[in-house]
Amino acid sequence: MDKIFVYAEAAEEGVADCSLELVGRARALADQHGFVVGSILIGHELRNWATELIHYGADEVHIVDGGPASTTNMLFHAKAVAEVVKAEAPEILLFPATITGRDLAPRVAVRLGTGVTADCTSVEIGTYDDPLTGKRYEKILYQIRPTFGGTVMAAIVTPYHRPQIATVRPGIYPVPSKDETRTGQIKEWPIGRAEEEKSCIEVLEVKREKRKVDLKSARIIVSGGRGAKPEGFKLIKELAEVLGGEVGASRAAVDAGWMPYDHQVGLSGQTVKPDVYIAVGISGAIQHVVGMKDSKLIIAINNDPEAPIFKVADYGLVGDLFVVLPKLIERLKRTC
Amino acid sequence: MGLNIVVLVKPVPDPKEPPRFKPDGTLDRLAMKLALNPYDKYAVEAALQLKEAVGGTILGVSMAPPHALDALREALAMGVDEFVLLADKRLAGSDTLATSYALSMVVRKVWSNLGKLDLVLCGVESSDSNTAHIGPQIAEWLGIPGVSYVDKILEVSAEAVKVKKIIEGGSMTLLVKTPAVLSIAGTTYVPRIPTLRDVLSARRKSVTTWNIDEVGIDPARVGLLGSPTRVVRMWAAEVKRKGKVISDQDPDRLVDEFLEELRKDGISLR
Amino acid sequence: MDFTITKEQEELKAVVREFADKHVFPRVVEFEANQEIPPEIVKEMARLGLFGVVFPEEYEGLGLDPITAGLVLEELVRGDPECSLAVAFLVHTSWGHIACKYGSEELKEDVIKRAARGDLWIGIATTEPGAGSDLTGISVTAKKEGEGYVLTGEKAYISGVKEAKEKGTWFKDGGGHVTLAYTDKTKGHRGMTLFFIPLTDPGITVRLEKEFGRKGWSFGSFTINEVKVPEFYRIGDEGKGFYIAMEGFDHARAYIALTCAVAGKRALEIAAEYTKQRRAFGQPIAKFQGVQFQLAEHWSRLEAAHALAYKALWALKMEQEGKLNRFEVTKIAASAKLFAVEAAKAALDGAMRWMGAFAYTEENPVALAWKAVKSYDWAEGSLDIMRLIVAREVLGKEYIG
Repeated sequence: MDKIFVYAEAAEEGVADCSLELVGRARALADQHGFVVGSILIGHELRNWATELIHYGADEVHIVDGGPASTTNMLFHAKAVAEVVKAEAPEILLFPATITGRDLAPRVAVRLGTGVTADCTSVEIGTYDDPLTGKRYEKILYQIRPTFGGTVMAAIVTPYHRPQIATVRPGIYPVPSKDETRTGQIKEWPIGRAEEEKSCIEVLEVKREKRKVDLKSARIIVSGGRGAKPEGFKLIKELAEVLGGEVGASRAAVDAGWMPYDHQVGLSGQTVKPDVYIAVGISGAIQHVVGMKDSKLIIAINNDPEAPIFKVADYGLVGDLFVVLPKLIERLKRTC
Repeated sequence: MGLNIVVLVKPVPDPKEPPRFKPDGTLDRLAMKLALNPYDKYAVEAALQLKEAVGGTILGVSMAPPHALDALREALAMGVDEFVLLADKRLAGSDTLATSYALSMVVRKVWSNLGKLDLVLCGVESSDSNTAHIGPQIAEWLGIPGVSYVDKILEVSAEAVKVKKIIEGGSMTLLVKTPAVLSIAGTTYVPRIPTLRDVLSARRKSVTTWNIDEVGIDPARVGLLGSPTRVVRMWAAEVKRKGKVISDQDPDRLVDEFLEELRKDGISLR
Repeated sequence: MDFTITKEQEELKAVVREFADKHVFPRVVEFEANQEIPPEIVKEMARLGLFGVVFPEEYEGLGLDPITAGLVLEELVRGDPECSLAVAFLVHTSWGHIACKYGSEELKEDVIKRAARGDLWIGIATTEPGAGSDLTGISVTAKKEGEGYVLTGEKAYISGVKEAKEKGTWFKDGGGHVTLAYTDKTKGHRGMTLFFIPLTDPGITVRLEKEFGRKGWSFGSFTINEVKVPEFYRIGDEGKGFYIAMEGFDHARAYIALTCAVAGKRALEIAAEYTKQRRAFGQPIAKFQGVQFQLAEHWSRLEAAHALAYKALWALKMEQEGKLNRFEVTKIAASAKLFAVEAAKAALDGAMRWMGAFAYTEENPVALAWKAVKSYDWAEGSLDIMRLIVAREVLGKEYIG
């Protein structure tokens, strides 16, 4: 049977949720269209993780253990994925569109001489009638992604080359439920050791750290206003951190001294247009709105159902931010 | 030491202007004003800072139709010394695999002309297609090390560079053998605004235009037919505000309902 | 007739716009609150070459014409509708040009080269506590003494005194003012001479005024206490000062006309955006024809003012090419200033009204523009003087005064 493969990205403790989401999506497509779901797991001593992947929906897991250095050496990952895929010949290969996946997928595509589509927000299986050859292709992967800065959507296919490779944005598909009774095959691949790549790239240090405020290029901004109070900003910062975004503020919050000026959004602050703007405890005074109205997605959290911010929001949550934010943070921590 | 640095840049539809569509719903690329890809400016700035620190030559390379040169001239105004434009009608419709192949062939030719190549820099992605493919793919085609999401070039020697790269939730420091391809991300390299004098003198700098035959590019591997991926269709993304207001006394249900709405609409908060 | 601009001019504009969008507009409120332009912004202007636009290339300038200087100024005003950057740019550009045109070779080597690099700012000082529109009332005198001149007196309501006095903060060498003085008081107009006076001279004492608007660029008076300048700091011949100053005013007025037209348009854009967001009586106020019609009226007038300002800049260029005479240029420049100031004041008044009470705060760029434009009721020639000039040129000298 044809195969869909998912690259399993490692998080600190186990397979990253973004990869589990893709295993879940692959499972759903497989059940509907008749595929085998496989996963490629690269790193050192990861057999337990392989079982996890099976519990989440994989039929087979291909482990490549290249020694301790294989966790961080991406050249080794590229080589390993390419080798496994050459041998197993899946129809479809999915990567999470993380920093790692976005680096790895295009490399693997060159090694395999095939196409790759980045940052899909949806992957579907369908039939493709090729206008050039007049030929019909069955069970083709439709790779749907935003382009032109999110203003345009595109549906893309890879008709003649295999595998069809795509990276998929994290958080689009839910993490599937775990079924510990599921069973599957685990196969180990001896593909050399990661240290062999050391002559080209050597990892000297890995550090977890925070970056400084940059509202203009932030993809996500969580902003607080008069309603947030200094305690609210603690929650806002935490939410921003969970989402990998920056913290913004209304003029009221800056004037009150809760946030420094370089966080201010609005007519007398910065004009921003992130992918997601979350306004917390901001009433939606026009002076603020003109600075953020071009954000791609606006979410407002406010306890006043009449607050004008809801008129410019895609999603509005009416509620006390001090109750809603902790819940939201907790839920998002679980899913991403 | 004198580094030979190639900076890859791309003209993109000016991100400050809305996209234009033809009556049939496809993008009207010719009607859109072009600008230098904003992410590439970080790469140009990184190259300039390296040159200022240790000396060298910066060569700009782009694959684009000749009319895009006006947009690319900003790189010359910023301080790129010379420019090579790969322009050929047969390249139209190239996807990332075909584009990276073609650009890697240009880099090969430049490399052999210069005799020595130290670094190939590019922006981590483009503001129009945002794939982030080109940097890593060129490294693969050339068979040299490549690092993407480079935040800062920490040290450079005749044989290697030490770079700090962004990873999920942190950073990684790497020692990379040169020549290498680095995709520059982040805002460490704040692009300088060219001076008025630089703008005026950029018009006098040398720009070489090559077609694919001059570079030895296989025409069968580029253009629409040489590209594995096909765009089936494009449509304008819905930008209207949804205006969905959720109200529930119970915060758990409120948050659940909200996340469910997002999921239904296929929206990711990451 | 051709309103298109060259690719090169487009690229120059783009650079200045990027600077203005990134570094200027977000901080305009700060200029007003702190009553100064942050020095790093002025230094960046210098690095970009904005202080060298019209100076010849042989004196380290860019050798560009007044129209191109106008295109640059336009972007500065878009970024700073509060107009402090405009003052810094247009005064320096106009009077630097005059100093360069009439100054000696030594002055160009010494002063103009530094001015073009942005190391030295050039201002203008004609007004005094007892003399404004009627300059024959000035009291500053210059006495020839050995190899130079000794100047004494007081100038008042002068722009850029602080920036010129404080060496190193905004400009490496501070600055100086093109100063009108009597070399022979008995001769009236014909006894006046222009000098370049560095305000960094210890004989100069500066006193700041609290200006009503465009607070980012200082404004005040300075006393000249027996300040000796070398002979080559004299700009033009003795007795020619008044006439050369009138030529400088033509330059400044053309740039001011452009400043007002652009500040007005920018304010209308900001206010228009506001009216789309602001709702009253169930709809955005932009949907009320009462707002729409006023907007259209103001916009049209500003469009005319904008075109006339460029005609004035074009006239300056034509004069440089020997294709127009002084009188024609003076007339166009005066018309341009007269029309643009009035059109911009009316438009800003309207724009403030639509923005409601928020307009009446110092956080609102439209209000800041309103205050700035108001200064041009007087600065570089009052509106009534503009009327006199235009009337004189239309009717003939014999009907005036």
